[in-house]
Amino acid sequence: MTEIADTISEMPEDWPPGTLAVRSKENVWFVAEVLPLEGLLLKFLRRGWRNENDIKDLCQDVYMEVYEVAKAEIPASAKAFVFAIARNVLVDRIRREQIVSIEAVADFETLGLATEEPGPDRTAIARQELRRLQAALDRMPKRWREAVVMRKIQEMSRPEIAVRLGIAEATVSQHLAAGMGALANLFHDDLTELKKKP
Amino acid sequence: MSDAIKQRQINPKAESVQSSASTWLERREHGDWSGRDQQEFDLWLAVSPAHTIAYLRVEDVWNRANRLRALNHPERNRAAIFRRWTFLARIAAVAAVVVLVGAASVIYLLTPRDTIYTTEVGQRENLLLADGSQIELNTDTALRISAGGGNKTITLEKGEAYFDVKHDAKRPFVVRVGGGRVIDLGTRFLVRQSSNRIKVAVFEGRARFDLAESGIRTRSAVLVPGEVAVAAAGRMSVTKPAPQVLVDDLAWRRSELVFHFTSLADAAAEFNRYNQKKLIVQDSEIARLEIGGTFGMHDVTGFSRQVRHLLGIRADDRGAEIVLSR
Repeated sequence: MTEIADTISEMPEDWPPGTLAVRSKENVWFVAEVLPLEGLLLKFLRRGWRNENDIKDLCQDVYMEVYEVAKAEIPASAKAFVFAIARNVLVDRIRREQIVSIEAVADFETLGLATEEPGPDRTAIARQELRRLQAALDRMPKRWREAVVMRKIQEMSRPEIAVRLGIAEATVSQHLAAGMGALANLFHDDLTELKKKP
Repeated sequence: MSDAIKQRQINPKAESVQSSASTWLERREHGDWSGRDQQEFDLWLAVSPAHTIAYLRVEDVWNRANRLRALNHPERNRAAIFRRWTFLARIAAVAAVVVLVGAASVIYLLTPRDTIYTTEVGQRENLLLADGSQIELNTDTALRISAGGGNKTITLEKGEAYFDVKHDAKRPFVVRVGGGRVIDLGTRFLVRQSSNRIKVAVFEGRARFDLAESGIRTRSAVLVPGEVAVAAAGRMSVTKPAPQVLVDDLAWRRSELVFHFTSLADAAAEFNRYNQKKLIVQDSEIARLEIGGTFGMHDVTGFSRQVRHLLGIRADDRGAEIVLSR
């Protein structure tokens, strides 16, 4: 019995598939409070920075700074905090690139997004969510959508999907992964353009 | 300028990070996830917080997309509702003719229209009520919605459901379960009924749980977030478990089962709630062994492989069932 007890105490090391790291307090907060702001955040960044190619990276910069702070202490107001960081990231970027865009600075001075405004209530969001998911699915390239629908809605396994579509399992994996990414982008952001087509 | 260069070197390109995050999520979704995969994944996460963030982001939307599953069975539900309505309408009509012909239409209109929603073993279903409240049905569950009276009454006939209630003080949201009822006071809560045992867990807001104790007396408890009431044999007890335990109670909403020093017997019973392929624990000695971890709820085979490996027991796959023994 001792042997078994030892095995159990060692388990968290390689016990698959573990999600303990993924469920820390900052992660839970990030998913619940910060990610829902992404649509608004992208709008804010686009108004302050005209080069669309940089928007995703700027968004990532904001997320990383927000996340670092949250690891030490969860900010009281996610929204006020995220937009304060977003403003700093934009100001830094504009200063570094030495292309001081007066328009950009003026723009987000007047944007007023960083203030705490009452959003739509939670149930309204929940109702929208299904519509947004459907819209995201509709706008995805066909190959990815097929894979996502079979996996998520028809709950088929990877080998089953491969047989149904008549393609290799590895290709199914690629389509699914691409579909997952596209779903996240399209869900948060109506303006996302899908560059890579399968 | 050096700052800018540094910054760009440290932060990886968002697009490539997202692509890796999606690839990881896809790999994790499938049953063949090994300890080595987990180590690789942990390493990848550790490289940069950007990786954790990107992973959380893709996984969050992917989990939300479970709602799409509700689109899979709308016809079936609608058909069931229709059959019920016609049946009730007939009773109502006959009664009306016999009792008072003139009032036939009135009685018909007043007939409570019950709707029953069910899930099979392994299925899950999301319901969105007209008032914006949401109910998520877990595996092997039956739920009746009556919309006749002045309040919304829902009966959990069997199984488990998670309620996210749009509170309306004028029309209280009531969930009847066994000999008790749960009245929402603006809240999210979980109700589970299993072999003479009722469990109510509150995650947000407050809910009142009334239990008819020994027939006449009613015991009542107002539950706040983090509290769990368990009723068995007409008695109620309220506890406040560790937050993580409560979070794990909702793991099924992500298609996961989370065990923490759980006996093999309990873990097997939990898997059996969700799968047609049953786990049978052969003798009482191994039934007491404890295990922990997070598993895909349908990955019976992967789970049995893990316990075989870790507990040094036998797992005999006989097709319809897997027998665990010494």
